[in-house]
Amino acid sequence: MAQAAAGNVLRASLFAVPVALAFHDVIGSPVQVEGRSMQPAINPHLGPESQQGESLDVVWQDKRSISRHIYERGSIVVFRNPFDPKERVVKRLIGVDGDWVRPRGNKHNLMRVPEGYCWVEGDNHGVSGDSNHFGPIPLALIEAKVTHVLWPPGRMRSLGQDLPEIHRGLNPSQA
Amino acid sequence: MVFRLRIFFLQCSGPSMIPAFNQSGDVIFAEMFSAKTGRLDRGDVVIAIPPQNPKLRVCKRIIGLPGETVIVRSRSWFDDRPEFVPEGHVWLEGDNPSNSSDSRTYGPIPLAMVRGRVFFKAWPPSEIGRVARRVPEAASAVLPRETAADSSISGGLESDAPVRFVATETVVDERGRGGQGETRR
Repeated sequence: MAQAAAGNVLRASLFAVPVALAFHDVIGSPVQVEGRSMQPAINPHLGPESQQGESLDVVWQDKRSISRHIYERGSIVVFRNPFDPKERVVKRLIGVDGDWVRPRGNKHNLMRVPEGYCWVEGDNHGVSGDSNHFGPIPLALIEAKVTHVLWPPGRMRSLGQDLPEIHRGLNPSQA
Repeated sequence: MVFRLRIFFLQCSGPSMIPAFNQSGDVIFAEMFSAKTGRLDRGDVVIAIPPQNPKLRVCKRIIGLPGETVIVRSRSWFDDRPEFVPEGHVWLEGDNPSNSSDSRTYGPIPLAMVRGRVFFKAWPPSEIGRVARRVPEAASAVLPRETAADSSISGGLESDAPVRFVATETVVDERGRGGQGETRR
């Protein structure tokens, strides 16, 4: 009996594990987000000092569009930190290659995003280290698009595209 | 590329890795494990994404590691320029410097864009075997981590490298600060 049960479990996992991994890599996966750089969209209640046991938002990262190299301006994306390959960072995609962007603290100068690169910014400018500090990053570092807040249940919602005011109207293809 | 399988094979073409790899028709095997666990070293042949085009894959050799300074040669020695490799980045070069678009064109690339280490050549039949870790003679000279930071030119510099690299210090400082920039979520 026990052997048969173990055999069933083994057979089930032989099927389930590869399917789950493929789903995780191709379709998407949930991920918990730390930090305040995307307030108010993500972690709106987080204070300046992080405390133990504070509830962090869990978001859904959609990998389907990025794997087809579709990059939507104004959407929230997950990318690898260019200076630390092990860390993933969540920011808003402001411009893709060829776009004009307006770096902050430099209000009168426009900058063109080089070929293959993009411009990312946090929504909470005071606490966000983003393209305004390290410049444009390669598009290849982007891994997923953040589409929904999943947790806590009261904050469940979809996250749309939203281009900050100062970047609007710089490129003809944007509404 | 298979998703979770740590080994993948591909056909590589182009003149940039002659003589280690032929112009066309070579079939090579690469593994993702070394890249994910940070076990890459100077001389490794890797598959990477070039920064100008996220859809492409290129095959190059790692020449410079994070924190090092690469001295990029040009036609005349007084046009040689030092390039700092920031944290989390590597410097890639093809074995055939006269016919390769690599870090000398697009600068250091983030390690996250290195997708695999080439470890085996499976085709053509006469060249089947392991792909060795080695640094070709034509590669750019590299200043090690420590000497790049202080301004002394003894140690690490090759005899044919020009003396004015005392000025390397300023370059290291500028780029280094960017590397330490706070990148929190």
